[in-house]
Amino acid sequence: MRKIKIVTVFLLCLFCVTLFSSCEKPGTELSELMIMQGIGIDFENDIYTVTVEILNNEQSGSPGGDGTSENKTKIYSAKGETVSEALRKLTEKSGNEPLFAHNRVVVLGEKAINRDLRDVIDFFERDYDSRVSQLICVAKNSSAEDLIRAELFKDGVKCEILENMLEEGYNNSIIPRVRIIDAVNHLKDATSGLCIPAVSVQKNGENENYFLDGCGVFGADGKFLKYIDSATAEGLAFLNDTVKKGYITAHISDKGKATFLINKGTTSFEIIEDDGVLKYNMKIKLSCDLDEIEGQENFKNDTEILNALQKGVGESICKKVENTFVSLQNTPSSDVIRFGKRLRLENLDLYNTLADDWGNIFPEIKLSVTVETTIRRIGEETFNSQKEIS
Amino acid sequence: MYILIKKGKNIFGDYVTEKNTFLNIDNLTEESFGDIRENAVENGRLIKQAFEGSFDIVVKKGYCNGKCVVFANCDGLCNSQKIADNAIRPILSYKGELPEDSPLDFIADRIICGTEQKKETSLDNAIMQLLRGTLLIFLEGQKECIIFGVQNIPERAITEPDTEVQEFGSREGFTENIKTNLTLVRKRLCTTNFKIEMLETGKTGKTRVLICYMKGRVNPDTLEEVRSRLQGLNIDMVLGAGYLRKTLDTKRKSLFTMVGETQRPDTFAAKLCEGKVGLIIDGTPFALVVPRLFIENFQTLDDYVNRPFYAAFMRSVRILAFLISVFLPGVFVSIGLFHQEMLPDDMLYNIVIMESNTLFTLTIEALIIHFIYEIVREAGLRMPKTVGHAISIVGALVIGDAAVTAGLIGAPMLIVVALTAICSLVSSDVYQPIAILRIVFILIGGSTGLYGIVIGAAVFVISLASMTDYGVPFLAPLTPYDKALFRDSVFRLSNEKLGARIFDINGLKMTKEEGKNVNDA
Amino acid sequence: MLKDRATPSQFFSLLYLSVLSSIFMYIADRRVSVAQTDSLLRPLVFAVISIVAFLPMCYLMNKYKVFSQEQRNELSKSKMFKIISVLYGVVYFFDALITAARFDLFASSELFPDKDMTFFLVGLIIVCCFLSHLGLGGLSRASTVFLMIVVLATGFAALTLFQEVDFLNFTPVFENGVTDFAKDSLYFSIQASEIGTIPLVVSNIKGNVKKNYFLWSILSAVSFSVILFFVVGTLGEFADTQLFPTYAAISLAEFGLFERLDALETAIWILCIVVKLTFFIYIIVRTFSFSFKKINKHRKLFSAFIGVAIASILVFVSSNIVRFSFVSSAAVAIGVYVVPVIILPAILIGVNFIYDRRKNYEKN
Repeated sequence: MRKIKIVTVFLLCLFCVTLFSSCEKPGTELSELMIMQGIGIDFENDIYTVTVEILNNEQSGSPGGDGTSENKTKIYSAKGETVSEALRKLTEKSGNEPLFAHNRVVVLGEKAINRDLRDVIDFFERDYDSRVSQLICVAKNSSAEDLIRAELFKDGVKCEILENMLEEGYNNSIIPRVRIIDAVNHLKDATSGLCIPAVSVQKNGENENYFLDGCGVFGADGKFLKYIDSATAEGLAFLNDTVKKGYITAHISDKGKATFLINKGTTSFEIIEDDGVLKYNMKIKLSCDLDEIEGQENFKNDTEILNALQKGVGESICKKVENTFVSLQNTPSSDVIRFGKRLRLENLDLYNTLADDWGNIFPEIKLSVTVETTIRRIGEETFNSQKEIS
Repeated sequence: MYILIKKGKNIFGDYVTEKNTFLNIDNLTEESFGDIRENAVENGRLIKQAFEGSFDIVVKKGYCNGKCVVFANCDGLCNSQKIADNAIRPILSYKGELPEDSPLDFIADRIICGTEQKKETSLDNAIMQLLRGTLLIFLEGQKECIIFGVQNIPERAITEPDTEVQEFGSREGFTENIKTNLTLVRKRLCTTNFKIEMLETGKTGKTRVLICYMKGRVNPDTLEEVRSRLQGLNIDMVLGAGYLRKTLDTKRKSLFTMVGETQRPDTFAAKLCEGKVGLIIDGTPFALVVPRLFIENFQTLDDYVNRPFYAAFMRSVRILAFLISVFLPGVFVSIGLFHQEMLPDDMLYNIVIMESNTLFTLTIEALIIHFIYEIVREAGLRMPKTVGHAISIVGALVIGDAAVTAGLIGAPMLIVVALTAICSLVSSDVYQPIAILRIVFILIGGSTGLYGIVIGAAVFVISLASMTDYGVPFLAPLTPYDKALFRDSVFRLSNEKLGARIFDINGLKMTKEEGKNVNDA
Repeated sequence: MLKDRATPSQFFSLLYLSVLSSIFMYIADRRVSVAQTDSLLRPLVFAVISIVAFLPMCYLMNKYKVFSQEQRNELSKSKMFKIISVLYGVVYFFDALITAARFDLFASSELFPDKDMTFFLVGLIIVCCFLSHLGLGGLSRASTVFLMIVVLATGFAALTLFQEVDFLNFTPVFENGVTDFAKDSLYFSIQASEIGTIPLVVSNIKGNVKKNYFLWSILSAVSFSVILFFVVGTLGEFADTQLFPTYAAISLAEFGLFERLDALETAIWILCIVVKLTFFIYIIVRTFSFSFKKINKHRKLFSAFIGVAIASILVFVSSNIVRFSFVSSAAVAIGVYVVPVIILPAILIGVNFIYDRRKNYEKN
């Protein structure tokens, strides 16, 4: 028994000594971390360039930021044959160990998107440290490096601003949200393409600022196809059934305009095959609040206004959806709205016969849109308040 | 139990210590004086001889109707006034005849007046009683003596116990006097079912121990177990309740104990009513209760006085405080070193900035500050009360401000340690295991991260769950789960819901009968 | 022995944790796709198979109850029983090895990929050897506490994941045909090799084992389905690209400010691994000490030996991914399931039958 005890104690000591000795340092000190906030990827001449924004953790003074003139972040760039190699090379520059876990966005530069998207994001899929929920966006008309190095008005974490813009855009149903996991899911699917939000830099006097500039469309094979502008991208939320909040402006029978805040919106599909032509019946249910209205005195009574408003909203949405859908159909194999997957779930046999040629079938699909609008609130004012005052 | 005696002189002396030898308790002997002699004066002389002329042993000779009477007592342990008024004066002034047969009975029954008196034939036992503060009365020609109770053992007044403070409980606490303690319990349990057995433990100290229990509620097996363990005790002295703990506890290597300690007679009485066995030990204000469950560390008497919802809330707060005080520093260190991704962005940023100026790794920081805290705490406990303020000021300054400004430790670590220290004081019963476990978990967390901490916690829980003493699992009624008893454990239901039911420890006892022996292979 | 005593609910919470560990460390296999709606239905087959596989063991346990104590003692002294006991021990040794190897892969791919995990694993095995001495009673009692913690933590993560579930991530049911589904389901079902231990420890379990077993298999199946629902619903096809899909799903969970809860969740899952490994080592020591008197005398030494054996084989296996794929191959998995759950009980029933026949013959 005594011998066992001695052996156990010896083993435990060995365990502790090995862990505490410098050869295998347990853990990483906080001050030795390179905390990534954003990663930009560019590709030129078969070489990847990564640009990262990292937190400046060697700052002296209080964390509140007052009393120090140093920036909150630093930006580094490195080159490598693969994304991973370039990222690992960053250690040589900063001397710290990279921590990808807090990365907010991955920006794909203008030239990087011409590569197969699957190759570009493989690192983020594979590396344990990086979150699969980090957002992806495309730098439109600039390199990712330029985007991350942009001189903004605000001092702060640039990629946080970028992330907030992308999140808000998604929440307002303007652009789709694409995380690493969404990108992989779309690309794994034989029929689905991918639509990644695009961000541009705008010169504004001395400074620059970011703005959402539509989306970049990728085919099912991960190849970049084209850009669509912001107005066109607005219909995507309805087609993808990802409407959360947002606003919509409707034209009411040429009598005026009205803006609504969307409360809730759901989209459902019904797929009909008619003589070899696929027809998708799309039904949108929308609940919204009136935010602003003009020309209300032209109507006779409240019911008439409400009916007109509902109709106006419906027409406006139909227009948006149609606009987007037609724009997508113009390019082959750009099923970014996963119509193929919907068919697979609904009618597997039909899908199996069509899947191989989906790139050519998608442009032929007929879409009919029905919108069912419910106006929930009309705001603080009644419809005819202005009339009464006059 | 051995007492270490160093043989020989130190290395500077004439000869060097060869070997340490031990004095075995079994070899300790005391001089025996046999039975009481017929000659009363001889008895007095023997007593004097036994104590080799100690000045506090008083032997007085007198005459009662011509017969020699010898009084012996230990000065200081008895009430001299009582001796003079109730024994010496009536005997010496008695003018009548003493009967031929059993004159001692006559003296005891007719002459002296007192409540506690008995006869003894052995001189050794009589001397024993003398040391308990009684008066010995020897009569010429009698082989017996009267033991007359006139004890006046100095004792402390009954005060509120300072280790177990209750908001709404009684303000009485045990004292060092066994009789007072018994009285305090007795007055709370006015029933004939409350039974007491007395044992003497300790070869030299001969400390009296009272085994208290409620007949009909206590499990006979448990009682027998306690009895046999105490009788088998081979110890020199019992100077504190803790001396008995090691024989009452079977899991001696565990950090936790299944022997409870209390300074409050009300708590003691309540535990006896739950079917437990209590021990009152002479000379210490701490009484022991066996068996004790893990959950009892988080229960107080106030829980039964407070409203049930508040009592339940406070119990969960105590458990939470226990968990925080054991795990928080370890978890903080492991997150800081291994799992930085768990922290929210801004929090990580703030912590990184504050920690980047410090000298040591998080593990070392945590250890340093905990050692400083333990030193300050120990100093506060042992130092003279008059310098208390000075220590607290120095402690606050050293640990607080100076260490952070000097870059020895980071401010976040300071907050963590401060919170931990406060939490560890919530349940003072488990302070000792907490102090050890905390350091262990800092080491584990600093070397293997959260995963190591969880494995450590698993070891901790499984070893607690496997603890059974007196047939009762330590973690009951949590696991094994007992629905009826669980209602008064982690939380407490209202008195109406609990109804007439009392928490009964015997409900948790595992019997020894074997299960069905189906294919043991 | 009092320290080995457990109630059925305690014991089955131990088994439940044990099988949960296989779903937490569920390895996405090229043979079986996770990212299908079918995976939600596979646990149902698991429940059915587990219940069917239990029937012979049930018969065995009933049969032994009929015997008197002397008959049982006589039976347990026979060589046949000793050999079978050792066989059980060997099978569970492999099972413990597979569990440890799988955890090794998990630890070195997901927990600390950039650190050397050998010492961590050796430490874990030492701990499990130590814990196996505390007896089945302590382990099963602690399991009820662990069960609460694991269920609360996983349930919490599932709640936070709920908003991430996307209808489009599911696939049509039986997309690859029913045959494939059946095959995959069978492969899925053989993960619960723990059920073979029930006849070994049933003498320490006081209460209705059959009812609790039934509940256990249903509950396990339901919780597997729920976990896989979240895996498929949140990850979609991404699940197939990940080595440990359950882990990948959990790493999506976020709660308010806290965006990564995976370290906490996996830390809590380790409780399952500790319980499983400890239980296996306990079974190995118990079976071997039943057969060999010497081992029975030096149980602690033997369990240390088992620990050293597992650890050294593990170090050999984990240094190369190819060796690992052998350990985790289908053939080994099937063997580890079939031998203790089907073959050994069948042999025991056969022996029983012969024994009965001989006794009847002697009577006549």
